[in-house]
Amino acid sequence: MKTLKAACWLLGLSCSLGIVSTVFASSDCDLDLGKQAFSTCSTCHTNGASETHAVGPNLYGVVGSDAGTARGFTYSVALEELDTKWTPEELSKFLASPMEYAPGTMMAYGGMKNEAQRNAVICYLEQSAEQLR
Amino acid sequence: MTNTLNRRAFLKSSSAMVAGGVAAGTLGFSSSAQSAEDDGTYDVIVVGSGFAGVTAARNASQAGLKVLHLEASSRLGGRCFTSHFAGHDIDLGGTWIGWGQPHVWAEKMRYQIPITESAAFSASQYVWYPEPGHRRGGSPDDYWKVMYEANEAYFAPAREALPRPYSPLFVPDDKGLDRLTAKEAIEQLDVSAEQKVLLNGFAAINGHSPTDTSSYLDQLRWIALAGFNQFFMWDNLGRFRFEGGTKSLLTKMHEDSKAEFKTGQPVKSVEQTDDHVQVTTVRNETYVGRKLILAVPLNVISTIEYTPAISNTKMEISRQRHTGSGVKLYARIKGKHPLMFGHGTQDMPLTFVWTEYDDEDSQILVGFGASPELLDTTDAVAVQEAVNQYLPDAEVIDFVSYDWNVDPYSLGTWCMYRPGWLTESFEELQQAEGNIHFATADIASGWRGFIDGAIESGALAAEQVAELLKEGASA
Repeated sequence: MKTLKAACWLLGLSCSLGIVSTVFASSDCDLDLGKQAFSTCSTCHTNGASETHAVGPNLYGVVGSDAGTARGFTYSVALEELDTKWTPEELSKFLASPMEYAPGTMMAYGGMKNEAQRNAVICYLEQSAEQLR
Repeated sequence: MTNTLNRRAFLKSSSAMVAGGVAAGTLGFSSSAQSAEDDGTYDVIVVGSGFAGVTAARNASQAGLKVLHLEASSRLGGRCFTSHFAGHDIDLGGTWIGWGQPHVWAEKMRYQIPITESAAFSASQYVWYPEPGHRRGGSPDDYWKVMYEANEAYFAPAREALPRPYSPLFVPDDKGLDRLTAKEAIEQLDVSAEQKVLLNGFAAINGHSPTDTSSYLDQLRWIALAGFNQFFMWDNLGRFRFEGGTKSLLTKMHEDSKAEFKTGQPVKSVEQTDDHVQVTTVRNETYVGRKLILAVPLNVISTIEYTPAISNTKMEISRQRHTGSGVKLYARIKGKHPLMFGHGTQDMPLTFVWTEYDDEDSQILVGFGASPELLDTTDAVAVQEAVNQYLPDAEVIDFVSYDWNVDPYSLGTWCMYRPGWLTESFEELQQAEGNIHFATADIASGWRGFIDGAIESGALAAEQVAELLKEGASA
């Protein structure tokens, strides 16, 4: 995302992050795969602007947010202390093995080992938030 | 949901009157409001909010004791977890109950929780693997002709070995059945090669692990508990479930508790003196009680520090973990198919698959595998292939699973004991350690590893603690 912002700036374009992101996502995303992969996430997470937290936090707008900061959700100490921004790259590392990335997390998930699925689900999350902006 | 329950429980407990005759004068009112007025010591602290913990907290608080109920995660349920998938309240962990399970059935009747049946109870299409790689299809009669006889042979020693199923050590294990693995026992049976393959698959899912890991004697408990009748055993294993999932009963039980309930409280350490127990959470909050009911799974006991140390047997067995470590998966498939029941080999990604929900234009299958090493339940391609081993033309739309093995508050699925544990360690596992009492489905006398066993164990712990505190108060 940072690279895309820099590219806009270098080209002198006044492109908003939202527009760039949507273009990026729509050309590269496998949304069907992302939606399918999210079904596992949805056992613990919601993903909607008006949704409440479930067992895990509502993931609406998670891409680009600071880790462990969703308002109203009580995180594990491990996530609270994580000083990370959820860029797609960081989210991908986290999803590959949450418990190695943040030992002590309450997220009981061994990890999404398939990189294409990880990218797809991150794109899906990003796009579902973008659509309502 | 949790916040609502919290508030309800608080409001209820704040207005609670003295309940029952459990030394109320000494032990005080079971009111949260009162905790602010005294020294902050609880009569009982219950850790864990699966069925064992919820039962213990409800019963102890209803007996007039001041109870603090702590849960590590953000939800009720422990190894029962009702989530939502494809329009259904599905259970990712413990699911089925039966009327041969006295504790859970009594709760179901008490709270009038409606039940329904798994679609596969009416399955017309059976698929099984008489040998690896060889798929066979047929009618229920075709399958049961082979499997009924195999099961009869497998369970034959049960009546003699376990004449009193709720006292599994009532007769000595003269034949050394507890030292045999399920795999060794099957190998010795006078049944066909096909039946041995099927029995290994069946026993692998009973232990939720390959058959060379679980005790044969422990496997025999299930048929004994079901009145030595294999069809009634199935009625208690996989036929009836709650319409709204296990949370429909659990929520009712929790709402009846007068305990003060807190979520997000993982326990780090427990320190006890002669008359008190101090519990410290990972956030370094401390709570003090006269008794502690540790309602966490057997595999989790060893993740907590104890001062003084508790028995080596408990710690060592907890570290070894019981055998339950396989996978459970729901997969929604496109279109209508005959209701099916599939039984594979224990080396297949899914050893059991059956139709759980039969919807208008799709169906949801539930599948069980003996090991997460055989199936990555997050991998769409792997799940599709696993389903196609039973239904070659089925197209998976989406799927869900929960990794109980990595959940730090479960570290496994349902409990089956390893060889030797039942005869050598079971009684020790049930024993209290000073003021620490244990409550989990994993140490139940009857339906160990089931919701029923969790309720049995939680109720027993609450009763024992209440009696001890009553004796202490009147001494």
